[in-house]
Parts: sequence; structure tokens; C-alpha cells
Amino acid sequence: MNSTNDTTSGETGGFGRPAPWIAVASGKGGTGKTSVAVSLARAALRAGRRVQLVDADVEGPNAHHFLGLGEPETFPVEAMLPRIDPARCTLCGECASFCNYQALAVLGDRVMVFPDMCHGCEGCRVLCPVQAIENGSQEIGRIMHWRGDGFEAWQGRLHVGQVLSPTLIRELHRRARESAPGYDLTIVDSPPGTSCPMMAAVRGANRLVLVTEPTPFGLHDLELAMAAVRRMKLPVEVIVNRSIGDDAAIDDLCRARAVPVIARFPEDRAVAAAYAEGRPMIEGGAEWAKQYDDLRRHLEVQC
Amino acid sequence: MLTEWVIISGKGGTGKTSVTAALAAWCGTSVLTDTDVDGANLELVLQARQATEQRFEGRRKAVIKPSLCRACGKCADECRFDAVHPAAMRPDRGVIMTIDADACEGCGLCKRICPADAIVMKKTVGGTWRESDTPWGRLFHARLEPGGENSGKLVALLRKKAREYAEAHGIPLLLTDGPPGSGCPVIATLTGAHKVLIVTEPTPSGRSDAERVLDLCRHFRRPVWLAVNKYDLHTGMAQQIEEWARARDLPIVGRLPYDPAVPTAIRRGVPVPSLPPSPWSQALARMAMETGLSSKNSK
Repeated sequence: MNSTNDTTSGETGGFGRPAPWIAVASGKGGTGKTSVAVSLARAALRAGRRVQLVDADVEGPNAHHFLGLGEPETFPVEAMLPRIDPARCTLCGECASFCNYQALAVLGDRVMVFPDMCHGCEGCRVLCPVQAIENGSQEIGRIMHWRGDGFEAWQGRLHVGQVLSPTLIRELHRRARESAPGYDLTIVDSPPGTSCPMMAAVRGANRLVLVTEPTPFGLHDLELAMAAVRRMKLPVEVIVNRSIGDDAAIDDLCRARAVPVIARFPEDRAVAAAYAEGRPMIEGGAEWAKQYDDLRRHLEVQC
Repeated sequence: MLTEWVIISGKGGTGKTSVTAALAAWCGTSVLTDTDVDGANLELVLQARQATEQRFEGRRKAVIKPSLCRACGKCADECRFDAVHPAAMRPDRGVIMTIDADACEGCGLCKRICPADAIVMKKTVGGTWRESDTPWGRLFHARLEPGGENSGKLVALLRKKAREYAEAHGIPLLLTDGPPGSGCPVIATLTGAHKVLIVTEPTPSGRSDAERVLDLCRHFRRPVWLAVNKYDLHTGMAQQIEEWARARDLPIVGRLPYDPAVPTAIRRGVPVPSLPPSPWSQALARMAMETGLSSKNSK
């Protein structure tokens, strides 16, 4: 790969700009990410767009509750787990000393593997001097896939007790990215927080919407979320949910970080009750539908 | 004997932190831990005054020295975390490889196989952990570096420190405000805890995430109770949760109403029982009795 100066970093592909891939995330949980993501997908569908929705909250996937979909196709997702061949293993300990996750240990006359610790890097297999390690696997979760007319939904579901959320999210994104060129818009519903699962879910997006609420909790976690994604150099925008008319602290933070607030949704118990029935915000009435159509228009303009 | 109660929910925003703070206020003196280290909020409603702060080292991550990289691409081929990509460099050098620190999980394989010895493993900031004083007891909390890896190590450290403090001071109750989800930090929070309280809400998301964390608790054989917050938000859904809990042999110890006192308390930075009596604080008090949490000061 002795390339000359015509090399690009690849992000523009061969056909000009990439299709919009919008991540919806938040530092704090329960601010309304899923309801926003689903409502936005609905608004785009109503406007005749082809939409792909990716539920990347693999530790608590919930978008399907609001979609009324049928049976999905499902795919198991496996992570690599070392399998030791005792006939070849010389107990040299190279694998255990390499492993930064303490997933391997030489104990007596065998090498123990601790599946809960393994990140699946395959370094032990690559480095074993006597090729005594091969790739075994463990199923860490599943991917569900629904296909409709001009609509596709993906969901990652981590098995209870498993910890490799980022691995599952990467696989989910890999599949969704393959089908993305057929869609006008991809929307990712991210897990809450500001650590590795959220980062993995936001990765690859070309636009990020952070949903917050005007409480000290919402403000604090919004600030953390902004800090978490700063290296990604993504355009970031904020939606304030459950506004009670005084969002000054959020507005001050957004102004200081030069992050635009693109929508404000009011605190509304009727909308909360509708959510309890599996109806997202966009079904809150004509005013909500209009706000979501405005938001959809805004997000369709390339930033 | 120290009893550690862990409060988790699966779904975020069901009211874990408000419940934990209110229980702390109701019980009088306890030791508190906030293991939601990438969005720690308990300090915001307990009038916490920081007493100590210490650094927590993160996992080492791979960094490529541009001057040594020959762009052979071996690191990119072997990286299972998709963290290595070509990056345009000065025109005379063409392309070299670069590592995305946000994607690198620090396995160190690239460093070991690099034929040019161009990769080093660099320390990263993991975050900080703190001890703070509150009117209701000492609080152990942390701030994970935003975007950092939530490996469970910081959670384990906090819980260990909190236990040591409780034992050293003869405080019998430890209340731990857990993280959302069901992954590493939740598992690290449940390990060795004595009792678990799941806080859910009567919504499809609340229920399905409660089910996931219930399975997790049962997997680790932790005794577990359920509280339904915003109980009157939707009667039908609340009824479904009642039936589900009965079928799963999960005792419901609290039915807390949808009450503006909760967001008001958050905005004022106090636990709900510090405000004038409200339906929510009364229901919370009944729950504290029912769980035996406040047997000593049941007034």
C-alpha cells in the first residue's frame, strides 16, 4: 500500500457524500432517546423517505415496543474465545502473560480460560509459539432484523450475563452499514451513559443528537456526553425533552459549547402515559407531529 | 453485620437515584455508593461536600509513533476492534496507520506484532474517585473519564472502599445506587451485594429491562425485590407488571406515584423526604418499612 497523494480516508466512498447516519444518544438514561429515535423514523417515513432504524441499546433494547413489527429474522453473534489444545500446549504461559484482561491463567497442568474476562482480541492465538490455541467462540447475543416497505429495523440484544456490549454493537453496525446505501436515512438509538457501549453506538455516525432533560441530572450528564464525543469531531445537536419552560442552564451550556438546541418538547403527562402503551411522542397529537416533521426537515439538511 | 442494598433498574430514568437518596434520608445514617460511574448523579441530591479525590488509572492503549510506522497494515489486519485505520500524512510519507483511542480496547496485540516496533502502550486517564460527606452519611462516588472504558474495576474499587468504611465505623447499612443496563458495571455492582431492589416503571421498556436485570440477579442468586415508580402513570401496564412479578415470584415492596415532588427535589438538589410530605415520600416511607430498611427508626 505505497499509495500516492490521491488517497482519501475513504469516508466519502465513491458516490459523493454518505447517506445520513444519525445517532440519538444521551448521558442520562430515560431522557427519551428511544421515543425520539422512533418518532423521527416515523416522521421520515410519513414524508416518503426510506429509513433504517438501528436499536444499539443492546443491554436494554426497547425500540421494537413502539414499532408493532412482526417476527424478526435473528442471527446469533459470537465472540472469539480461545480454545486450548492440551496435546500441543507446553504450559509456557505466553498467552497468560500477554492477556491484558486476565482471561487466561496457567494453573497446574493446564491453561484455564475465563470467558467473562475475554475481549476476543485473539492475541493469545496469534502469539502462541506452538499454535496450541484455536478460535473457539461464545454466543454473546443476537441481532434481530425486520424488513418492511422502505423500512428496515435492526436490534442488538446482549444475552443476560454477557458483557461484550461493544462487540455486539460493532457487529450490528457492520450489518446495518451494508444495507445503508439503500436508505435515505439511518437512525441509531444508542445506549445511555458516556462509556464504551455509548461510544461504540455513536461511532460511524455523521451526525449526533443528544437528548436531555432540564434537571441537574440531565445537565450534568449532557456535559459528560459532550466531552465523551469531542474527539469524534461530529456535528452535535441537542434536544431538550420534558421542558417546563425554564431550560436556562441547558441553554447556557449549549451556548458555551456552540451546540445548537434543535427542538424542545414539553413535559406532558399524557405523552408519558401514551409511551406506557407503546406509543412514541410523535403520536402525541398534531402539534407533536408537526414538531417532528420540522425536526426531520432540519436533519435532512446536510450540516 | 453490614447489609448492602443495591438499587438497579435496567432502563434508565426510572428513578433509581431518587429512590436511593430518599432511602438514605429516611434511614438516617448509612454509607452510600454511586456505581453509575459514567453518569453519577447521587451527589447532586445529597448536598455532597467532597472530602477526598483520587485518580484512577485507565487501561493502557496503543499509540503509533508516526516516525517509525512503515504502513505495512499488519496492525489493522489483526485488530479485532476496528481501531486501526490509515490516516493521510505528510505528502512525502504517504499514508501511515493511526489508532482511534475511542475504539482501542488495549489488548496490545498490535504492539507485539508490529515489525517496525512503532507501537507503544500509553497510560490513559481512567477517571477519579471521591469520598464526600453528606448529611446522611459518607458517599463514595466516581467520575469515569468521558468516553472511557467502563470495565467494572472502578465500580469494584468504590464498593470495596465503601464496605471498608462502613465496617471501620460500625455502620450496618450500605446503599448503592447502580448503573442502568445489564452489562459490566451492573454485574460488578451485583457481585457480593446482599439485597437488590429493582426500580421499574409501568411502561413496556421499564418492564422488559426489569426482566433482564431480574434474570441477572437470579443468575447471581441475589435476593431481589421490586419497586414500581410512577405506578399510576398507566393502570393497565401497572397491572401487567403486578402479574409478571407474581409469576416470577418477585415481591413488590413499593408502589410510588407519579409525583411532581420528584423532579422538584432533583431541581432543588435534595432527597424527596426533605421537601414537605408528598404522596411519593409517604409511599417511599412505607417501602422503607416493608423492606426492613428503616426498622430502627420507624417513627
